[in-house]
Amino acid sequence: MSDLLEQDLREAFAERAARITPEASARLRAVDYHPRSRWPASRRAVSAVGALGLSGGAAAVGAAVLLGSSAAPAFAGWTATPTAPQPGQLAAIRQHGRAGSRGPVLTDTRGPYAASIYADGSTCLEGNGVRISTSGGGGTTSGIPAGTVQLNGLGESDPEGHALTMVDGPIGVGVTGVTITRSGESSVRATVKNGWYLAWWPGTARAVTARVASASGTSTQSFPRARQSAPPCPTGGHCTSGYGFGPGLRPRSRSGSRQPPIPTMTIAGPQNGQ
Amino acid sequence: MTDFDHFVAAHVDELLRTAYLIVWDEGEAEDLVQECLLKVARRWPRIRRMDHPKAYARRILVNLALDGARGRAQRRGELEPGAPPSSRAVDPLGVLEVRAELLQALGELHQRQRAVLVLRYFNDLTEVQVAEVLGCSPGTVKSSAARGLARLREALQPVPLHQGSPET
Repeated sequence: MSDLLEQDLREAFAERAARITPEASARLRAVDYHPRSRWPASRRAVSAVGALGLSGGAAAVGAAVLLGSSAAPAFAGWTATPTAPQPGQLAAIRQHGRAGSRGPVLTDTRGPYAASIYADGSTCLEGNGVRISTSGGGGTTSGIPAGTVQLNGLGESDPEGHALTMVDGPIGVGVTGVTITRSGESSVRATVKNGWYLAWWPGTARAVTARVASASGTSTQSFPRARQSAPPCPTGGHCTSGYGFGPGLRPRSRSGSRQPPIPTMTIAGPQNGQ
Repeated sequence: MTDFDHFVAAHVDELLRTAYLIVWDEGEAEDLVQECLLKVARRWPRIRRMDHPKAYARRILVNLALDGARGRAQRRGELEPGAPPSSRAVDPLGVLEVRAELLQALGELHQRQRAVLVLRYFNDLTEVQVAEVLGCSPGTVKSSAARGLARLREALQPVPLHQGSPET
């Protein structure tokens, strides 16, 4: 009996393994597993993210990083999988989010941090004394092919070494889940809601692919490896470095400090889209 | 091509199949293999001098799969359902039906238990080699495999006719 079952088991495994699509193997062979350093070693914590140019877009193009003195180092308590909102967490980010807006289309919560995205692609992240806002790039979010997502991204850091990377965008019809794979790090599960997805993580790990789940199965979209040159730091205040990629990317706009007690970190970002 | 590129070309398929059989989801498997190969690439100068670089890569892969098992279990509802039998051909001996039942039962095993069976019966490792991959004793591998096989055997038991089907 055991011998028969073991034989059946070998055959069942072989049959199941044969179902893997050749594309999955081809994608894995095509990955560059030796990412070159994108920055001179002397530069401090700078993150970069990529985006796949699809039609239209609402890329995040401007950012102000507001780090209070109580900002937890390395985003303590962050989780790779979204968590249920804590009491008051959603109310807090709504309060500090964009004034006069109609409210976020999606809020992603990970431990003590909440990140919201608005219909124009602008975002706001808050928690543990960290507050970050980005302005949206405008444009349309329509025309996203079914089962795919638009890949926008933003990476920011400040002289104290607080760096984060955020990816977001509108989704096509039928998308039920998005998982971001990162260079050298474990995957991050995005929050998907109301036609949008959003994920972020501390540090500068590069987004490599987005695994997109839909009713028809799963597919992979790859972030491009190209990076843009950082423009000179803006004058005044601290210089924070950042990058943005995505359809409709425009010169970065800078949002002022809405919280005077918290020092504003202005961003040196990309001047143009890809 | 570098020797690492040759390593990837030679072993990526087996790593992908192993991951797929353990996590039971192609997307997750692809992510895991990519993560595994990134780790291998970072340590390649040391790994390339090993007697069995593939075994080391497989060990990384299996540990990544099992480390993330809890999170995946929570998301199980979002994963694609198991594919139906690959053929609708005439099946007079019920071979395809049994195979489908076996695959379904395998998909319902605990991931660590399935990993033991995959390493034993797909990768054809000995109990000692499986124990090295999983970082446990050969005795633990033996008992885990026996429990897994027992569960499969139980799942394949014919349902008594008087119980009827769940739909009725």
